[in-house]
This record gives sequence, C-alpha cells and structure tokens, in this order.
Amino acid sequence: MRRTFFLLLLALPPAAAAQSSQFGARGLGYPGRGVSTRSAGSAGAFGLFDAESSLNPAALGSLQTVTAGFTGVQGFRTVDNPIGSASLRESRFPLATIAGPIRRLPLALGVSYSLYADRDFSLASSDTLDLRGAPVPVFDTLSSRGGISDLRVAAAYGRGRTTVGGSFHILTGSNRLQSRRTFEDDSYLPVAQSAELSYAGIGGSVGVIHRLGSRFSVAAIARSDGHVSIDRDSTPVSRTDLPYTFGLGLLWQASPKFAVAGQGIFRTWSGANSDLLAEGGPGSDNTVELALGGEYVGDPKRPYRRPLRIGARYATLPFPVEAGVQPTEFAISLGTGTRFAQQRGGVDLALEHVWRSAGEFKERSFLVAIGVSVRP
Amino acid sequence: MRAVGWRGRGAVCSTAWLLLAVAAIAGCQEKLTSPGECPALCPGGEVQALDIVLRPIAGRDSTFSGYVNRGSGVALLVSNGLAVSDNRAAYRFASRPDSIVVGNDTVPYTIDSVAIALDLVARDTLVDGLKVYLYRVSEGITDTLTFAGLEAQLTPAGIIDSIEVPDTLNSGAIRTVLTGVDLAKVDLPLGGSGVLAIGVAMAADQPSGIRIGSAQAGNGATFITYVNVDVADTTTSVRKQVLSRTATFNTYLTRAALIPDPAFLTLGGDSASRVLLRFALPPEVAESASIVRATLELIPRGPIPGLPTDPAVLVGRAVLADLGAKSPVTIDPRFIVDDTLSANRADTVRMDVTRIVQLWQAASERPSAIFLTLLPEAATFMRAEFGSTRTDPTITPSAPEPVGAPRLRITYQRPFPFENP
Repeated sequence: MRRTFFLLLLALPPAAAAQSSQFGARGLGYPGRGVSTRSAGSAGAFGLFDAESSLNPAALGSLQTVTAGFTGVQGFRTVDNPIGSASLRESRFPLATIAGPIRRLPLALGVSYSLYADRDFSLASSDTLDLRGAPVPVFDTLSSRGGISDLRVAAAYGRGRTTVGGSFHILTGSNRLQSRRTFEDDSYLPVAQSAELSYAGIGGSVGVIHRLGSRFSVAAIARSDGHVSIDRDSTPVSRTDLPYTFGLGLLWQASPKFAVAGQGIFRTWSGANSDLLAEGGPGSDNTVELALGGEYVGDPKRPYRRPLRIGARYATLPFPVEAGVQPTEFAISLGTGTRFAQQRGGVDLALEHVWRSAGEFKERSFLVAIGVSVRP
Repeated sequence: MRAVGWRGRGAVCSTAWLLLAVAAIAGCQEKLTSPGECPALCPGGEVQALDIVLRPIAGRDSTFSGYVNRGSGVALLVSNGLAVSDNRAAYRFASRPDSIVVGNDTVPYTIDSVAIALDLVARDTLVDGLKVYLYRVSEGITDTLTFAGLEAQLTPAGIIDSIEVPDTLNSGAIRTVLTGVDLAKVDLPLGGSGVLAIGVAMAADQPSGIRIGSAQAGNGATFITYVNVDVADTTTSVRKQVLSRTATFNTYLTRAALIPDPAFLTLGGDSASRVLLRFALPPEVAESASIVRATLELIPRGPIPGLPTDPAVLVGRAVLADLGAKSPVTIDPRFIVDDTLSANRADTVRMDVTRIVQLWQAASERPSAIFLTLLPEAATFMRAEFGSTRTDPTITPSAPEPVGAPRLRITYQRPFPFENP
C-alpha cells in the first residue's frame, strides 16, 4: 500500500513551475528555486542543507533512510502593470525527489526532478487596428505553457565532519506558445498561431557541507549548466548560455530547539545576455538571492512534530521587462510540518508572501506549498 | 487503553493533514490570464495585420455561357415588355388517350370539363392587375421554336382563357377550368396525337414579369381532363375519371436575347452565364499569412436589371481545377458562398470569400480562382454585368466604358514572431 502510494506520487506530473509570474514572460522564464516545502517554510534559508531540496548534492549525506518527497504549490497572485490588474491563481508541482543512503557505505544517491525555468503565462491585451479604413477592436491572448525542467542525479559522500557531493543535470522540457486574436467585428475570423520550443542541455554541480563544531555548519555549491539548445517546431533556432551558480550557506544551531540559517546564491545570468539580445529578447542580468530563516522545535526529541519555521528572502530576477530595470522580489514565509506512521510519512506546509516589482510592473503572491514525504 | 486512544488521535490528525494537503493542491482551478503590456511583456513582439487589394490576372477574368438551356431551368419566364427582357413561355403536354380501359374493355369517354393549372413561382409583388393568358399553339413546338414563331401563334383566335391573379397571391397555383362550348378551345380530335400545347403570355398594370413552374422543377403546367365513362358500373370513381397530363416539354423565349458583352463579366440572364475569376496571391500571403477576411467586390456596369422584388442568388464556388469553362467546382459547402442580389442595385456587390481564399493557401493544387453563378440559372430575369480587367481604366486605359475590375480585398496577419529565448 505504501509502495503504491509512493509510486503514485512519482507518477504525478512535476514538470511545472513553482510559481508563475509576469516576470517569467521574457527570456527563459521565471527561474525555479529547487527548494522543498520544508525549506520554503524558512524562505529557503536551509536549502543548501536540505536533502529534500535539489540545491546541494552534498545535503543528501544527511539522509538516514530512503526518502521520497513531493511538493505542490498553490499560488494566489495579484498582477499590476500599466495595462491593468488581475487576480490569478495556479497549481504547480515543482519538485519531486527520491534519495537515500547506500548500505555500509558513507554514500547517498538521489534523483530529483525540479523546475529550472518556468514559462507558464497568459497575457491578454486589446487594441484597435485600422483595417480597410475603419477602426476594428481586437483582443489578443499570448499564452505559454511549459518551461525547462531539471533532472538531477546526485551523490554525496560523507566522512567525518565533511560531506561532499556532486550531481549531473539534464535540462529538458518544452514550451508551447500560442497567440490568439479575435476581432470585435465577427466578419474577421479569429486567428490562432502556435509554436513549440524544446530545450536540451546538461550541467553539473558540486557541493560541500562542513560542520564547524557542534553548532555551526557551512555549505557551498558551484554549478555550471553550459548552455541550452533550443529547437522551434523541431528546427534548431538558438543556443543560449546558462549561468554559473555559486552558493554559500551558514547554519547555526543556537539551541536544541532553535536553529538559524542564511544563504546567498549568485548566478551569472549575464552570460545569457548576448544570446538573448541576439534573438530579440530583453537580455539578462546576474542575480543574487539572499535568505535568512529559523526553525523552532517544541520538542528536540521529536524535531519533526510541528516545528515553526520562519524566514525572509530577497532576490533579483534575471530577465527585465523594462530596459535597465532589473526585477526584484522579496518574500516572507512561515511553515510547519509533521511526521506520522512511525516517521514514515510526513507533511510539510509553507506559506509564502512574495512581492515582485520592476518599475510599473508589480506582483503580489501568496504561495501555499505542501510537501509530502514518504520513507518506505 | 489510553495509549491506544492517543495513537488513534494521531492517525486521525495525520490523515487530516494529508487530506488537507491534497485538497489544497487539487481543489483550486487555475486562472492564468493577466493583462498584457506590450511590447514589454510580449515575447517576440506584436501581431501585424495588413490589408491588400488584388485584381484578377489581366485578361483571365472570363464569362462563359450556355450552361443551362431555356426551359431546362427551375422556372419559365413570362413578361410583358419588361425592360430586362420580354418573354413568352410554352408547354407541351403528354398525349391524352381517346379511350379508357375499364375492366377488360376499352371504352370511349365524354369530356365534362378541362382544367389547366400553372404554378406561379414569383411575381413583382408591387405590380397589380396581373393576368395570365393561355393560348393554344402548335403541338409540334420544339427547341427550335423562336420568339417570333411563338408570338405569331399567340393570337386572339388561339386564346384558351385568361387567369386573373389576385393581387394578394404572390406565389402558388393558378388555374382555369373550361366547360361547355369552351371545351372546343382545347379539343383534341379523335384519332389524332392527343397532344395539347399552350403558350403563356401575361398582362399587368405596368410592364412586369412572372416566373412559372417548369417540368424540370416538377411544378410545370398540368392539363387535367374530367371525363364521364359510359359503362354500366354504378361506381362513381369508374364512371367519372380524371385524366391528368403534365408537360413533357417546356421552354420560354426572349424577344431580343442579349449576347454577353465580352468586355464585361456577365452573370445570369437567359444565357445562363457564369464568371471565372483568377487571381495570383502574393507569396507573402500564399505561404505564411493567416487570412482573417477576404471579400470579393464586383462593380456593376449599371443598375442590375431584373424583376423587382424577385432577387437572385449570387454563388461563388472554389474551383477544383482550372479547365476554363468546364472547370469543376467544389461541392463542399464550406467553400461555397452566396449572397442575395436584388434588381436595380447599382452599388458594389461584396461577397465574403474568406474560406475560399484560405483553401487556396491550404491546398496549393487548387487554382486561385472563383467561379460565380447566378441562381436560378436560366430561370431568373436578372442579368448582372460587372466590370472586368478589360474595362478597368487602371489596367486597360483604353477601355471605352470604364468600369472597375473585380477586387479581392484580403486582410491577413503575418506569422506571430514568437521569441526564441
């Protein structure tokens, strides 16, 4: 029964975004974060230490048993831009992981499927065209579904206070774009045009976690994704450089009941700038993500029994919608969770409130993340 | 006991958490459409919509005639000095026998009365005082009959009867019944062919016309004879019988049949003319555009002559292969368009031919051509003449009577410039 449930979880389609955004309409889309619900509860501050996230391969070394995790996110978003406002909602399944230690070896292996960049959006606009000498109101919808997914195979090796890890990433996915136009004058036929982009790339990353004494740990990652090849309707059209990623995290176990963590991640998205500009895109900028969070456990002997997680995060986004204005986002989050069935099953919840802005383009979003984990 | 209770509560809580998780994810419907600020949020740019106007390939817009013979259409034309054409009609009925078979015997009959019925298909409803005249004409009328030949037989001596049509009757059956001495007007001598032929003319308060039923449409004239059979049988249905004869031949004739002017594009008339228009789509439109609207515009030479209040139907069909006059046309209703054409209309005639032009794009083996027909063929007074490339002063500056050529006005969109990230 448990195995059936576990397989069912893995069968669900995870290849969508953690969240959609109007800031994902340009470039490669809205970047994924690869954090589990547990980590999202503290704004991702524990992400580099979290085995159920897909940021740091070295974090797999902390697993005591085989663990499968699945994350779903329900987003409620308010969008403001010079054209108007809208309230949106979306459901996404951004992360699925399965990992576990190898018996009698200080080694852990894991596979994860997560979001790399999300291009889920629908943009509606209206205009008036001068056709046949008369003004004709038109209504346009440009929609996109899909994005780039990140299939990761990772291993961690731990010895003493240090765990190192490495991972291999396959970047894949597709992006179905559709442009629809309808005319107020129904003697003009509606038009729908579509295209499908497919992505392919590979990358690699290394990570390390080192314990400094009994209360401090430090984590670091470095990742290179090379480039992504893009085909449009099965015809190669472009190749875009992907960023290097560097991350550093610090965890302080302030007391048996309370831990604090912070991390910073820097991505060299400006490497894709020239490729995107050459394709008529908006270019891209380097990004930085800073997160700080804490976790309070009521009973240190049972740390998974309804802990309280809290955190805040600031990040810049790579793809501008207005020239010279880099989008930014700020988020605060709250989370908790529980384990049951002799710690074999677990549910984590996280609530995140995100503000994004770039000039006149603004967005507020409530994200409810639910993570289910199974340890068969 | 207490421990078991706690475990049970834990299980309930765990299940509640799980259900809450599943419900929260699965229970919300997506709504992803947000206001789009272009060009900032529009990857690739905006859709470009453009208009172009095409004219037929010079000299490749043609009139072809003679597809339907007079009398082979769904109606016959009769008129009294109508400007568009002056017409008379004629019917020849099937042979009526001299005797009737009753049981095993062939017995003669005596005629009680005769009725001749016509089906009035259409009239000018604004003209009163319609009277239809029936004449007896030679039973030997054939396709070779001429207007003058028929008119010569429509004399007072040959008149059978006239039918006054109520002004309130716009269409339907009209008939006359002959009895007594009037039966001599339709007398068919014993031992003869038994064939009756009639000519039809009309009068009204002013020059007008009517369309009457034809054998082709199944509503042609009927010649009905009510007879008494002299037999001992007392059954009414045996002693009183009806001999009904339908028309085996019918036609109508025009006083001065017009031959289509080759400089113009002619549709309809008693010549049953059709028009073939050929266009050349520009490569940008043919290969990659999304056609959102295509309108064929025809410029009349003048007010379109016809019978007022009796419109015709202009039909455009996609052509399957360009074989000139014998080009096969589609029967797929998606690629057949029609529009009503009223008499005396002088403004530009417009037809939406979007689906047909889209077909040219989708199936390159289909010629970029439209075949136009005016229905009912050879059964309408309307004869529409439109300008051609031979009369368009921009194409043929020396045209003696300048009238613009047909125009194909296409509104299309260029392919959306989807951005390659």
